[in-house]
Amino acid sequence: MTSLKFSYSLKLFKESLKQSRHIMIMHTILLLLATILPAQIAIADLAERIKEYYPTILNMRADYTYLISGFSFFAMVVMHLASFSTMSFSYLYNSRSAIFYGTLPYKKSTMFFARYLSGIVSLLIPVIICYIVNAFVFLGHNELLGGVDFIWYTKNWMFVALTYLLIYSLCTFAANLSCNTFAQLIIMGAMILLYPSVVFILAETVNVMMNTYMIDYSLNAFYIFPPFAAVFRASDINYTITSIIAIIESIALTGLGYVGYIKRRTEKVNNFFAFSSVNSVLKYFITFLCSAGFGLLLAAVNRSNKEIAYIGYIVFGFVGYAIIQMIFEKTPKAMFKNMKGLIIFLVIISLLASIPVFDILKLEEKMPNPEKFEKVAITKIDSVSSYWNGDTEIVLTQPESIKAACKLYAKGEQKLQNYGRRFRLTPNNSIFTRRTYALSIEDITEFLKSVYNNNDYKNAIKIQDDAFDRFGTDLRYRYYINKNAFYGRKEVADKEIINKLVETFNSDLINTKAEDIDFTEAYAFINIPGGDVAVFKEYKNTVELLEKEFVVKPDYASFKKIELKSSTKDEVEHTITDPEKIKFVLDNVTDYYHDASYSKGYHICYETIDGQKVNHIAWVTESFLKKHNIL
Amino acid sequence: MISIKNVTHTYEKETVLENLCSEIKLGSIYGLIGSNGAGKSTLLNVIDGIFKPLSGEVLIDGINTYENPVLKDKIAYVPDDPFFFNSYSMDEMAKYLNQVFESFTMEKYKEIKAHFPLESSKKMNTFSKGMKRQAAIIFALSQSPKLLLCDECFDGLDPVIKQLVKRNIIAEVEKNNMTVIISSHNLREIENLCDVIGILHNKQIILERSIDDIKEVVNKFQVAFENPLPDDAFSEIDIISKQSKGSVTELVTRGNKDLVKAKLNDLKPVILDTLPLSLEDIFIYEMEANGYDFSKILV
Repeated sequence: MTSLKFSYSLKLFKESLKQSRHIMIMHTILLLLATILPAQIAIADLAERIKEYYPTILNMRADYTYLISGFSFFAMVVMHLASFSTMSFSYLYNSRSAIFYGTLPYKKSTMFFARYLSGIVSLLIPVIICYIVNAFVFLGHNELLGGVDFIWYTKNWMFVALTYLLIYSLCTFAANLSCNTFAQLIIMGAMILLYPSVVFILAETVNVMMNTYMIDYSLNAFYIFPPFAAVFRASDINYTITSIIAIIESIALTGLGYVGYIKRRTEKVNNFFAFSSVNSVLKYFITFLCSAGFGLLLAAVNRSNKEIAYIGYIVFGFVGYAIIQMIFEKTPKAMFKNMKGLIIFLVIISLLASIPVFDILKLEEKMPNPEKFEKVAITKIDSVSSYWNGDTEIVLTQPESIKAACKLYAKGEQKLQNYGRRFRLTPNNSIFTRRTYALSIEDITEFLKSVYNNNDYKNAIKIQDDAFDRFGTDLRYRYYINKNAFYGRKEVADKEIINKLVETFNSDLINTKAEDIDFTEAYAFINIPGGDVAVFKEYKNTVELLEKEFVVKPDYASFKKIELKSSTKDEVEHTITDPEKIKFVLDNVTDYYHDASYSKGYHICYETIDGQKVNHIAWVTESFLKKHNIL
Repeated sequence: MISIKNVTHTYEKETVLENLCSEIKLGSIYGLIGSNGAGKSTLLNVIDGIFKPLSGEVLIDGINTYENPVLKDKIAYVPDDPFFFNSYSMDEMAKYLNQVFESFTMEKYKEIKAHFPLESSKKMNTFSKGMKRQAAIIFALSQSPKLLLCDECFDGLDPVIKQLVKRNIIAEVEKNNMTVIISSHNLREIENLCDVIGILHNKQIILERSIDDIKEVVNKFQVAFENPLPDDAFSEIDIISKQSKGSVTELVTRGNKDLVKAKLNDLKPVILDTLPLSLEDIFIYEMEANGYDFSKILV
């Protein structure tokens, strides 16, 4: 049996490193160009922005370091790595070079580690050079950037280095399983996409085929392949954990690459992959992804008809299988050659789709038991209108709140599952039991009455003291009241007013009881980063402050008439000329399509006295207008 | 002694070598003959420990060559199509080999290189095929190897260089008791260099003969008799081939030349001449005697 004992040769390492010197130089130049040039542009832009808007600079260092953690930098790193890393073991792909290296008086293990280490060192030296050079550039703009935080700066570069290590190890793994660079890139792509693609397919199958279940497949992707954190600029990931994962994954991939190197036969240069098992695994993996992906696409288009979606899923599974077979075997004859494999594959695909489509496990009927949960995450609901507003979630922990949430859960209506805005409930933060429902106004009102007086709910709803500090303490605050957004937004630069508003709102929230509030009508919405908060007319102090400092009253006298256009047909269905009615309608339009699922919605078009016509994207519903005798 | 013991090697599902056995004496020059695709290169790769055989082993003085850095340091291999780093000159390549092979010395390199008309400072990617082969031989000999493996190394060399290479190889054999295994599909090319010839065919070495022995024991005679002889007249002579044209018979015999001649003289021939016999002729007769069609084995 081949020995897997570690051995090492400094001489061989040095020689391999020496041969990489041209790559190192080129890589250093590219990295410097890719960091310093954009950094200079960002800094120049920053200086301009300071002149225009900001009295002082806040977190603008982020702009600079984003350069080494953003998508473009990551894409460049992957491009470099893909081209440079493939070189360490590319000699395996040519019989002449493979034989030459085979004649050298070293064990395979010695050769592997010499090549691996020289490769990673030749890639990391440019990173270290760039780290140092950029530090000087960074220091050069010390004043502008508001101080240099080298721990933070170093942490970013460390993440770059770890990305290099991980991708290089992945390259090594792929290189030792392949017989050419193209095959190597295919393995790398398959490995990178393994987790996201499988989770995407499975999660989307559940999301498309089931009425009330929902899986958020973006979760945890960073922890499976940490460089994704850079791609998606994840701000909330734990860098320590991702770094540890990157190291463990690098070691694992290097180990597997090493086994591949030891076990592969030197003469395997004319095949596509060095091991026939890789061919089979990849073939079925790609077949699964393609067929399930195509099937899912058809199912997504026909989600209102599950039977068609199901048949489409299987038919595309069949077609996908046949096409991939043909591509891998390089002959159309291979499409239906492996009938046994095709049948097994179709059975798997059918079973996979049958579970959600026919709800074999009766999951849709399964209702949660509130006594089992310590907490639930629920779509933020603070008024009937805000229910339709975005995906922000709040976490409830008090037993009464959990009970109310679960009651809401049981009352949810599956028929509305096609609507984008749905009520979501996630017991114990589990992504696998996230359920989605649509709700009626009555249910929402009942829920709000049940939870409003609870501390966990109020804590979740209240505006945090730093809610407006996201862009720095001296930024102009982007702030408007939705109800009057029609008349324009008001930006407020005065920190004191903002603080007073936050304080007043939170005080009103705490001091008002559920019994006193009419949850169906919010007076206004305050837009804060991460979602809106509803202001009820019962929040007297907040309303008073808003009217005094923020709200711009519309000039109703200038309105000659308003036209109500159907939201679906874009045709004028009603014209209102009575000034009182005009005032009422305009006072009650909203930015959001609330209640619209139960009633027809209208867009507003108004004409001023001087004949000027203006279309405005705001909503008012038929039921509301009828209720108030406008129509 | 180099012992090749029951070596079997496959490419994909095709068996190239099957239970191949051979014993090669240290200090000898062994000519490995076979047609294109017979498995000569594969066998050399297995001997050098580059390819791991599916079964069997190659031992040098009882030690397996596969994954054995100490032994590999003493083996030099000149492949059919040698590899050099793209932008390297001969001198740069020599420096690299000097670093990675303990046995490679720059002194020896300079000494061997001096015999060949090559510009050592020129980039080797500008070299012709023949020049690359010369360079590979120079590098191989600079290792002062105990075993030199040459795969079709005379292909593409002009006659003068061919002789130069042969002289250098022989000199190393004499000086260092180096063992050489040379593969070729052309017997004539290596017949005056080798001590032993082995023929690789049908995944095995089907014939292995020492040149001295074979030249000594295989002879060709032309005989004529006054009266036709009975069929069993030559029964005491080991005849490989017998061809009659009228009253003249050509015999290829195995055994001591003088003894065979004496036996033929006992039959009172009117003509008895010894005819010249090339190594290729000898192999043709030997192979035919063993039931092989030599024309299908060598080009």
